[in-house]
Amino acid sequence: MEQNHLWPNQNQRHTQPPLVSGSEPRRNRTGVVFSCSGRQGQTTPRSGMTVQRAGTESCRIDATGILPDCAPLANPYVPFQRTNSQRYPTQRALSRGTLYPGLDLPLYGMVNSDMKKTPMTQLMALEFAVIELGMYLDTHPDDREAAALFRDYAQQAAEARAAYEAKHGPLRLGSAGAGGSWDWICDPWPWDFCQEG
Amino acid sequence: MFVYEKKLEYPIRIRNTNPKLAAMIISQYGGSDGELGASLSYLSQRFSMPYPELKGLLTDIGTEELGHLEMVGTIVHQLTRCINEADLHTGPFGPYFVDHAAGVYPTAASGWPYNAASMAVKGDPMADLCEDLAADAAIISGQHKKARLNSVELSRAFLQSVCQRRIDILPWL
Repeated sequence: MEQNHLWPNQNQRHTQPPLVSGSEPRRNRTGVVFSCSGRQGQTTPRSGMTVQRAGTESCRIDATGILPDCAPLANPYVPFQRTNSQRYPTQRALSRGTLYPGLDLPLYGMVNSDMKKTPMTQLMALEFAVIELGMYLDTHPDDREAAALFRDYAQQAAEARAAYEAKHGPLRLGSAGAGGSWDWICDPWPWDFCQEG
Repeated sequence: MFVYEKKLEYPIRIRNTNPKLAAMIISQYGGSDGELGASLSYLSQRFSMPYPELKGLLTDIGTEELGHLEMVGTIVHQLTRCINEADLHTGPFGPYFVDHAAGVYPTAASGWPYNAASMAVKGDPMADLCEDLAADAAIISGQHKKARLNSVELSRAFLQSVCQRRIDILPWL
């Protein structure tokens, strides 16, 4: 299997540094060993106590809890998408599974090759871009450029859908029966295996 | 209200029957980290979500998960077309076949039927979002295992695609 430079294998993935900042060593709640610059050996005016272990730095223990008051706060970092993120063209977005190159992290380095362009895959690509931009706009409602692009793709998707339905039958219940017969129940259904299409 | 669209989100065309693989992929349908659980979590959590951005996001993600559910069901369906006698006697698909034949049933590969005990709706925005993050991590880990176990190109392409979708939503939660 092809290897991915980001996640070469499960084991290595687990050895990546944790997304927590703070000075080493940090121990568990009962280990009471915390490095803490600037406060070594201080006793506190309150009922705190100083814990000193051989060869380690010491730190005040808060009387109200187990954690020392100088324990570094964890800083989890979740990257938040910026406005004006780079985007793939729709067909590439569909095959890569994301509209955004910045979020494109292939599983085991496996990358889908661009799929054959058919009226259906073109429609899928446009609708996928609409889904992607829609979710992006949920959390970035003020990004006007993205909103304009969303409207553009939504319009193109509507046109592509109408063109597809005129030729191959209804995709939505509301478009059924246009040809005088009840074509909603006609094969193929989406789960049917088709050689082409 | 939901409106059905008679198409998949991503094309699935599996030429070769492979019930052995279907017996593993079914976990993605109704397993503890499957698409059914994912769509139910998002679509249920949104009722108590106070923020407009996240009401929208949970609705849209939950809806897309329903599309993924349909895709996984399609994969299992196509992998079990024209199964032969030998598949039932020699492979891991046998026990599934006894109960469901070539039907698509929401169950884990290990035989546990879908159970809402594997998801959480706590009515607390932070708890629910953290739950979603944890669930996504579990799903990605599952995709890795499935990708290692299977060798069918089309399904691998799909797993890659769905895994990618998981990663997308992480920063938004």
